[in-house]
Amino acid sequence: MSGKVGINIGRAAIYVILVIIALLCIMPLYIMIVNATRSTEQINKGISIFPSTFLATNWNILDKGGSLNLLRALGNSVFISVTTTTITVYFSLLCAYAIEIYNFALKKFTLGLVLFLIMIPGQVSIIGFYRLVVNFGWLDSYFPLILPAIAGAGAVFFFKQYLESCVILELIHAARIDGCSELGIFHKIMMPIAAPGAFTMAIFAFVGSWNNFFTPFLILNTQEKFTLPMVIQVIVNGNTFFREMGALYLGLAISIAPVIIVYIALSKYIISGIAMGALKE
Amino acid sequence: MKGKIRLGTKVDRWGFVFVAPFLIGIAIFTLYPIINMVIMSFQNATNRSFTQELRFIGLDNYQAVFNNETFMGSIGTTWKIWFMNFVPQIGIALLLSVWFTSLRLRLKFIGIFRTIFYLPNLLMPATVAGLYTMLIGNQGPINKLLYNLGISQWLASSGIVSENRVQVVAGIDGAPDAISIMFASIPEFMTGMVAYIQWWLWFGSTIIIVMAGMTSISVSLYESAYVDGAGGGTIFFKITLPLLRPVMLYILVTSLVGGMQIIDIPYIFGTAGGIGRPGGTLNEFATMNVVMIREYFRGPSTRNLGLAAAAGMVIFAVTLIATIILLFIMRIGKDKEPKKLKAKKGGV
Repeated sequence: MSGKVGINIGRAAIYVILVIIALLCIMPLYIMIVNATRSTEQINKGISIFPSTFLATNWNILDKGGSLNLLRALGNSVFISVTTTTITVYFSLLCAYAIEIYNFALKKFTLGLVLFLIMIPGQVSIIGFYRLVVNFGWLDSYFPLILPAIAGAGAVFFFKQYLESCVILELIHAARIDGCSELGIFHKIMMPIAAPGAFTMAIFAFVGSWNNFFTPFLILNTQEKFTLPMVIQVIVNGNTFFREMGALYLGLAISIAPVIIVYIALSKYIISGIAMGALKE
Repeated sequence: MKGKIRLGTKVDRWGFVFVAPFLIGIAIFTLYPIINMVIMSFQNATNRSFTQELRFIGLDNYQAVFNNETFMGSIGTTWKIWFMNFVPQIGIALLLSVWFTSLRLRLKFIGIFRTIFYLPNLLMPATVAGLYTMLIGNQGPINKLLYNLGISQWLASSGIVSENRVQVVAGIDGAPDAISIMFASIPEFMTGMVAYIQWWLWFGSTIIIVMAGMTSISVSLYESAYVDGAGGGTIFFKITLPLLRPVMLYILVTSLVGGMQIIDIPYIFGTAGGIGRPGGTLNEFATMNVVMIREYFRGPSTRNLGLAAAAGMVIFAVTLIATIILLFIMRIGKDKEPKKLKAKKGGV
C-alpha cells in the first residue's frame, strides 16, 4: 500500500518537472506570438498572456520599414528550400538505391565515403567553399545554396537505412524481365515504395535549408536576394525597428510560424525520422 | 536474402551511373573546398575577390592566427559553451528517458511531452537568437517578471549584480523608478545564455535518440534483473548504460562535432541590438567560427582569406583531434563491458 502511495507522489513530482520543462520550450514562443499582436506601448507596460488587437498595425510598421521586404525574403526562402529539398531527396535516394541493389566496384568506396562524410559538417571548409563560389562566378547567386544538395551524405545514409527494410528484390527482378529500364524501375517501383521515408527526409531537408543562416549570409549581397534568416538578422540588428517592439516580435513570428504549423501537422513523421536516422549503425 | 539473386554485371553498371551525381557532387562541393582551404591557408589571399596574384607565404598565416589572442581565446570559449550545454543535455535526456520508458511509473502523455520538447530544434537559429535578445532586453519580459517578483531589486541591493549593470527604466507596470538588469552587458550571463539556448535547441532531439536506444533494449533483461533483486540504480548502471554505448557514442560525436562549429546564436547575439558594442562583452561568448568570420572574413581592416583559411584549419584540427580522443576513450571503456551483454546488443 505505502509503495503505491510513494509511486504516486513520485509520479506527481515527475509531471511537475515535465510541465516546467515544457513551459521552458513553449513560453518564449507564446510570448513572441502574443506580443506580435500587441502595441509597443502595451509591450513596454508589462507581460500579458492574452493577445491584443494590433496585429495589422504591427504588420504595417514592418511592411513599410525601409528597404527590407519580409515577404520577398519569405518567397526567396521558399524557392531555395523547395528546390534544395527536391534535389536532396531525388539524388540521395538514387545513390542509396544503387548502393543497396547493385554490385559495382565503387559500392564499398561510396558507402565508406558516406559514413565518413556524415561526421564532417559542411561548415568546416566554408572558406574554401567561398573560394569555389568566387571561382565559379556564383557570388550573389542561389547556385551555391542549391547545388550542393546533390551530395548530401546524411540523406544518403538515412535512405540506405530506410531501403534496407523496404527493398523487394523480387519485384525489381520481375520488372526487369518485363523490360522495364533501370531508371524506370527506380521511378516507377522504388520511389512509390520509398515515399514515406522520402517524405520524412524531405521535412528535414526543408527545415535545414529554411533555417540556414550562415552560407547565404556569406554569399548573398543584394538585399532583394536575401533569405528570411538574413532579413531577421538585419531586423534584430536593430537599426530600423529598434523601438517598434510589436513589429519586431511579428517579424520573428513570421519567420518561424511556417515551421511550427508544419510541425503540428507532421510531428509523428518527424519524431520517428530522428530515431531512424540516428540508430542502426 | 540479398545477393542470392544474380543480377548480372550488365545491370550492375547502372550502379555507377546512379552514384555518379553524388560522387561528382562530393568532389566539387566537399573535396574541392577542403583542398582550397588547405592551399589558401599558405597563401597571401588578402582580397576577397582573388584578383591579386596569390603567393605562397609559408606558415605566416598560421603564425598570425596563433598570435591572435581573440581567436586562441575562442577555442576555450567554444569548449566551455559546448560543455555547459552538453552535460545537462545528456543528463536530462537520460533521466527523462528512464522515466518515459519505466514500466513501474507508466507515465501518460509521453508523446505530447516529447513533441513539445523537440519543437525548439526545428526553429530558425537566427530567429531564436533574436527572440532571446528581446526577452532578456532592458524592457523585455524577463526583466519585467524579475522586477514584479522583487528579484531585480534584491539582486541590485545585495550587490550580486553590480551597480553599473542596473538601469532605471520608467514604465514597468507604471512604476517610475523601476529597475532592470542589463543582462546583455554581463559577460558571464551571456556565455551562459548561449549555452542555455544550445541546450534548449538540442535536448529534445537527444531525448528522442536516447529513448529509441532504451526501448530497443530487451525487456526480459530488465525483468530477470528485477527478479534477481537488482534496484533501479543497479539496473541503470549495469544494464541500461552499457547497452546504450553505441547510442551515446553517436550523440557525443555528433554533438561535439556540431558544438565546435557553433556560430549562429553567438554571432547574432554579437550584432543584435547593441549587445557587446559598448562594454566589449563580445569576445566573452565568441566561438571559433564567430571570431574567424568577424575578424578575418568580414572585418573591414583585417579582411584576409588566407588568415581565415588558416583559422578554419585550426578549427578543423580541433574538431578532428577531439573526435579521435573521444572515440579512443569510448573504445577503452568497451573492453570492460561484460561479454554476455555484448552478445545481446545486436539490435541497436
